[in-house]
Amino acid sequence: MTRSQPSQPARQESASARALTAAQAALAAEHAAVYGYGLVGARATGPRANEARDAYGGHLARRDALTRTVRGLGGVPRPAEAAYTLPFEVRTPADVERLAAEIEERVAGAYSDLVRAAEGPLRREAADALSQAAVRAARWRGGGVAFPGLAERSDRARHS
Amino acid sequence: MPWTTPSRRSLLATAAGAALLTGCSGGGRSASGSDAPLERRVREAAVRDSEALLERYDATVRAHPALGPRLAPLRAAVAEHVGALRPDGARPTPSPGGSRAAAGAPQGARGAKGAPAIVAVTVPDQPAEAVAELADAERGLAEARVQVLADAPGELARLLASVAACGIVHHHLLTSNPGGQE
Repeated sequence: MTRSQPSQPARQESASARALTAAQAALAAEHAAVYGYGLVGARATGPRANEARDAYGGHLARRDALTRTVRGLGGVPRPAEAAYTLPFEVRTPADVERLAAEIEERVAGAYSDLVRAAEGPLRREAADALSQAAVRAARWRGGGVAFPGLAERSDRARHS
Repeated sequence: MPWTTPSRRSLLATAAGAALLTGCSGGGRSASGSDAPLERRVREAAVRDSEALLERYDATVRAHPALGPRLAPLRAAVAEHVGALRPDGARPTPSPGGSRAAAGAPQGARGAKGAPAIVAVTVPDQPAEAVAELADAERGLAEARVQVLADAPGELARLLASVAACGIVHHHLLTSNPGGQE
């Protein structure tokens, strides 16, 4: 309990600013995921359609939770974009699965950054969301990676 | 072969509990701005946990060689975690070679060098049960890590969250295809 650190309030302020920035980025990723899964859901068939529907619902819930989080941190939740550019052309069922996997990997990346920036319950939520995205990514890809959500370590062989 | 000793799950839970304790025992020290001792303790405990998990993979494959191909990629990921969690292993190593494991092991964190692990691993006779125990171990450790990361410095918390997510994925992969042997 030392109070001899005059820079402490400033550090805390910048810490909450970092949490807000990371929460906004995660919210943006969830907006994109909701958009993307609209497309995935429309094209997926069979059991994959059910998975897409579940994932869509999950991302809607995360998006809403993050909207509240951003408000709680004193920010204005960023809205969804009017349109999104797909990372590649989606033609075949394999393309659909690859798109879903990429969506999840981007979401996972945003949550790993939120883990770093946040503290307390928000950090915990971000860690849970990261795990959820990693499991979905592995299901779409047919295998996992050693470091979900860490782009700087992503050049690793995936495993099934 | 299958004894009635405490399951690996509870052993792992104990190890993770120890990590939790060391992770939280920093007291007011971190308020001074230096997270270095805390970071080192959390990393060393996390390395021990991953090495124990690695040992369970090895024991499972020794008992059930037919599981080898299925478990090999998962084991490899756990081995990568050991490297990344080492106090001096913060940088990703470009080469996927197997020799870096022994390279920079700190004093406290070795011990798995052909020598028996700290705890004896018992593996069920049935491959499906062995896989189920492995899945339990992955999940138990991942959940413990999510607890530990609450008090870790930001960058390490991010790494622990990723490693925990990988553990949850492993649990999923190990349980979604029970038995899994063709």
